[in-house]
Amino acid sequence: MIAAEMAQPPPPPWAGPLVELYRERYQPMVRLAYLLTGDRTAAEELVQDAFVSVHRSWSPVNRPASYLRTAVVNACRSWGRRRTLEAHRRPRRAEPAVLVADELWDSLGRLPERQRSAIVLRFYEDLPDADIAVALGCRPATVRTAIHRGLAALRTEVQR
Amino acid sequence: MIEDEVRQMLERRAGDVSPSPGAWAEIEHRLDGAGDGAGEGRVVALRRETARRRFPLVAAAVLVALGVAAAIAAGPDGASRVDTTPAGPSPTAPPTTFGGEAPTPAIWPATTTRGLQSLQADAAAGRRPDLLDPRAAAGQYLSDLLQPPNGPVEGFEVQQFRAGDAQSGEVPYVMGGLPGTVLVRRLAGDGSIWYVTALTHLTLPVTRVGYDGTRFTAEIRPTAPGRLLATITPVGGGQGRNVDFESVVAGQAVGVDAALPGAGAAIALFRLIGPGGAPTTLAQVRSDEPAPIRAAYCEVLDSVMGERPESYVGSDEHLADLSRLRDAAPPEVVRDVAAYRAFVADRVSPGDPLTQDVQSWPQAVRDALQRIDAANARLCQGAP
Repeated sequence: MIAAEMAQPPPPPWAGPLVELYRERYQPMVRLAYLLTGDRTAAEELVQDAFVSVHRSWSPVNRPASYLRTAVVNACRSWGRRRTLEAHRRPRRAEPAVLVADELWDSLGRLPERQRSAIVLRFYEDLPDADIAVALGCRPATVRTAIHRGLAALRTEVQR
Repeated sequence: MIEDEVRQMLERRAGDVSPSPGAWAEIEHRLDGAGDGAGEGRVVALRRETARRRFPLVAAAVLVALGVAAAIAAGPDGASRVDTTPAGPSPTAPPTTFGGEAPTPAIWPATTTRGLQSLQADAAAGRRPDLLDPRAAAGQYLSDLLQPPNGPVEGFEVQQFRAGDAQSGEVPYVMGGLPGTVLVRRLAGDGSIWYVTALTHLTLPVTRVGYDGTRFTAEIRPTAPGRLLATITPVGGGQGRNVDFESVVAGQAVGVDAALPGAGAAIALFRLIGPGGAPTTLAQVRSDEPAPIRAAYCEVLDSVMGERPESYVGSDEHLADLSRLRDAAPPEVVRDVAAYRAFVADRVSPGDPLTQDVQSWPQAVRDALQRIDAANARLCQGAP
């Protein structure tokens, strides 16, 4: 389907590499974004924004996959901050009557945004401290602290 | 070890997420809206075009609603040249029941009357012989459904068709030792194709299925324990979503109330994954009647319209309003609303009035606005 859509001549110069990147990284990035936001719809939207961002910066980008991941992480963090602000400003809508009983997932969602991001990048993406630090825009020591504190908080919540 | 638990939980959660099929089309639209390869050059160009007339900025916030797009469309002589041609749905968008098409209860092999009629032609030409036999149709439906990630690929046994009346019946099947039923119906009389209207399973009774144009609701009372997952797919506009449940206790009623604005109907697939690797069981239903999608869209449009300050244009609040409008939009304008929102998100800033100059926007965005404006007039103001 993607190939058919891209078959319309003439393809722009970025089309081929971007399609390859989409094929290889779109689903993993949507999953990563979902783990960072907890919102499936927002996850897709943010990853699509990130792909547009990658396209705009295509020529100087040497490692598009890494750039994409950083763009996704940044977008998710901004989204989380906006949503926190909105939650303070707007009346809370009634939650749908659904049963959710994944304590660990709920606890992860309650962590501070940096701790949550660091834990997801470590335990889902398997990134080393240095790469997480690049993605989060902080020092590796800060990453280690965030993961340590986040895990401690999760441990406490689960044992409660 | 908490680390192992976290790792497993993340893997499990991530594994439940599947991107929507129209994702690439959405990205393409955003790229189109940004201009082909424009990049930073386009921003520079915008800043240099100071001689261009700026639109009344107080109205720019409601571009997508009414008025401004028509102003864009007006030529120097003031004559309207609004393009009333609908944009049409995305090639990867779900099929639609909107636009006067007769509703259908079908969930497979198509979800619209038009789609079923097309398959009827295929069957008549010998290309879909499976659809002419209810048992074969049910078997093919199950084969399609049981592809990952929906369920086990392991075998299932399709039994003999049991007629209910001349036009409908059921096909029992057994999967993992548990019986289920595929409900089938015939499109017309003898020689016409069979389609699926529902999938039921003893362990997953689904009741009180409803959809009011904004929310999908249902009640499930699983008779076996496990992990319950739901995937709700819009038909005729809107955006799909997944709803997760965990650790369902047998016999416990679980209510589903999922926001799904802007669709004509909804199809819900429920999966019950048994503990300890017990077989997955499935149920699939469709909401009863197409919903008043037009009314839902116009209601959102009303709430979005109104005068706003310059600082609103391109702000998070503006984008949130456009998201609501896009989510409620009928298929004929959803692509244009999405493209417009993507452009605003990417290029328009509340702190930079030059970026709010509509006349300097790409022609593709202005064309989208014209189509949205024409559709708004037709949908919400009764224009022909």
